[in-house]
Amino acid sequence: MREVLPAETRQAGDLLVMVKVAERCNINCSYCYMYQGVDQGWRGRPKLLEESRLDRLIERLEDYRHAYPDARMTLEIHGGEPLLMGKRRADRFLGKLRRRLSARDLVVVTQSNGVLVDNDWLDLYLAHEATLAISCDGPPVAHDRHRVDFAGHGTGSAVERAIRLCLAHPAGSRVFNGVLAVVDPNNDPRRVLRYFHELGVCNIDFLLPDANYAAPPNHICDYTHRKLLDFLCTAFDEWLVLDDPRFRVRIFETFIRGVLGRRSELDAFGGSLSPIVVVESDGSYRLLDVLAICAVDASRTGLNVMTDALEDFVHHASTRYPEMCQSCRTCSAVTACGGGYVPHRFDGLSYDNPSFYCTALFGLYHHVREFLSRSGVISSSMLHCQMSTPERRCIGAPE
Amino acid sequence: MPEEDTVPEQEMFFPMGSLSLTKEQSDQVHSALGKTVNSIPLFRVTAVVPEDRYVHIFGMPDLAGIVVHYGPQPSQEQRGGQVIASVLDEMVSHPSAVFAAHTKLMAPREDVKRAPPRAAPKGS
Repeated sequence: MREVLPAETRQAGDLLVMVKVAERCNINCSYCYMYQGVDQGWRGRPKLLEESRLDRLIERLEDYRHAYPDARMTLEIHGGEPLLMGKRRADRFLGKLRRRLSARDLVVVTQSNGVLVDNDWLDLYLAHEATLAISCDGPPVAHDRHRVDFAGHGTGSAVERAIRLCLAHPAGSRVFNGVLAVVDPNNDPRRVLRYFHELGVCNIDFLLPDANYAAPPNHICDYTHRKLLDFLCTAFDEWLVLDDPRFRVRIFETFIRGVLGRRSELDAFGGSLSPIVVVESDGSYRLLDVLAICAVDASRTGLNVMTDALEDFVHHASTRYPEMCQSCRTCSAVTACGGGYVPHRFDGLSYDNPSFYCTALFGLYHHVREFLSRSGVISSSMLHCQMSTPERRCIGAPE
Repeated sequence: MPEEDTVPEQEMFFPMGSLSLTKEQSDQVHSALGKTVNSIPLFRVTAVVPEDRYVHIFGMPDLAGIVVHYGPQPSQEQRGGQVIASVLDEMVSHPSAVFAAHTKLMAPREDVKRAPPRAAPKGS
């Protein structure tokens, strides 16, 4: 096993609670892991998380804070589309929350599709010391490939408007965190990157579409791993050309740190999964909800916010997630990719595989590594002695 | 003895041969320009900058001269210096105050908020 630096910052007791305040969405993205996945359990859950469960969640968070006074705690307000909970309910919930837990005790963030964002929402978030980020796949022509409403119309123009609102808001830097973009390798990566840079967005990430060997990314026309790798490498190179330290791309920074031996705490790149609690609209505690692309009830725990403490979930979750496969453990790229996202390793029966996206992750790792070597950040001797071709089992992967 | 000339920023064209046109292509050129053209010359175009020097070569068949480029080659240019430096700085600074382990959210970053304001976004 390679000697690596520990995951960046994880402390005992760190906790992230992802609460689905709304179990429905107002748009119909073609790649959504929740609504297009094999687990359609959302249909049987309430549209909104009712107030009694929200109140109980606040109590659970406060209890956890008392138990772990030094832990970093984050509440991620999610969905579906979280803004569907409405301003009145959100104001009431956040008000109650902040009376029990200050911004110092609990970071509150929201990931929204942006369609409903307006200045009232931004003012509300600012008033409660909460922040918001938007999901956008690039300029409207790229975004509208997959992020459409229920009539099939693109949402790109509305989302661009929302991003501009956030950036123009007097407290934009305090309330707007940035953008998540899901990759479609048929889009021009330079154009996507420059779009966000020219808009004035400071912080973006490229997400790999949620897919695996049993459920490949069929929403992408003529998908190949090579195209994905080319997208990521071209985007990385373009990011370097821009060379703006105020324009950050999380996946690239993750891989730079990984090349330098620093493992990520991100769940998709090897970070610990047990401190991430998903609270569904029925109050149930669940494992990563992206497991919905793998199997029905793959995320089920039997625990609930009304009956169980958050640390009960953490203890339970620590026994549920699969170990990294053997080939990943000895791979040169593992410090950066962490074996990839657990849901992306599923082959229909087992998780004991490299990521479905191994080719792209491995290729990106070495692309970043070669750049750092040419730049003198790492010595070329390190590059040559540690570079190795892993034993990779890419089942039925389109090369 | 080779002579050196100072070459201002421009492009230099060195003939390499010619490309024959098909009958259809010749007809198109005649239609557009009124000229009968059966082939077009090809040139190797070399951009030069003030630091470059053109050196005449005598006594070597088919080689009139060479352009000597001074300074770093394009492959040696340092790309991404500032952004890499900022990533490295962050690695050695205090750990993040935000536990943002979930890739499905974009969490706040202290360093971005401290950055000086960027240019105003283009008008909506």
